[in-house]
Amino acid sequence: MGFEQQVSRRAVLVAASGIAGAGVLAACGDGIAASGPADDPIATEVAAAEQALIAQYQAFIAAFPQLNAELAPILDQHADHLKALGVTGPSTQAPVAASDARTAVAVLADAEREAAKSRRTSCVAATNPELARLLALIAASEASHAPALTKMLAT
Amino acid sequence: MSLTPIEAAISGEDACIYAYGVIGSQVRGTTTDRARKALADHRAWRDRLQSQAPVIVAASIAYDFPFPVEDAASAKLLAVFVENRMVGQYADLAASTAGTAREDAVTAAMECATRAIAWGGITQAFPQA
Repeated sequence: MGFEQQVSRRAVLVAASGIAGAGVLAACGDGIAASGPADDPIATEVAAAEQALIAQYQAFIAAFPQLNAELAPILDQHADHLKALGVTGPSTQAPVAASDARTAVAVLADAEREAAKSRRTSCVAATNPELARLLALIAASEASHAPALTKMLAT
Repeated sequence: MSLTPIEAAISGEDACIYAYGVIGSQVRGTTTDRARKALADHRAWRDRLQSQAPVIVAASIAYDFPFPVEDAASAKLLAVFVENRMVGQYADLAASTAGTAREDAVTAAMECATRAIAWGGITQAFPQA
């Protein structure tokens, strides 16, 4: 408790520019969503993969409506990824089927893990720094989807 | 003073290390193990970044948190906050690097976003604090 009082003015200022920087980050995120790096072949390839994921979520929500409440927010996030890329690519894969809702969630968790790794590869290949930044954020988002889906299986 | 992306990421990792000391003191049992693991992971990334940075970046003595941390619930919220905040810093680092350094930055961003979920955070299209 007394620790805070001992902190020098400088440390507090450094900390203020660091840990309490949520507002700055929010502004950056909006900027990315508004300026998609169009016409980049890597962006087009990732957009096609995002469309395939979106089609997979839509197919599972249609087959298992009880999953809608939990899957819809993640589906929306993929739609945000697609929008930020600023391009639309044709979906290359047809959605796979699942025998039950639990299998569907497990299939999606696997797909998200693979998607995150694939985004990382695309990020490393990107020549446009802003596209690299966007793909790093998408990779992080998709990596976080996997444990969120796995949590659904535990309940 | 404006920090380069690698300096900002090192400073962010220092803030995480400080935060996990506070978080670890507020949680018990298996959650303590999670805090310990996260602390070790952040230290490893900080040291790795520091070894690649042109200058040594000093940590602050202490950090202001965005809200009071006085129990396990607020400690978990702080963990979600610092992890999501690091995702943005690693995305900035990815934008300013290439090759293996960029791959590392994305891997670190993925790990931070994943830990945020383990601490009770919600998924986001573009993870941020």
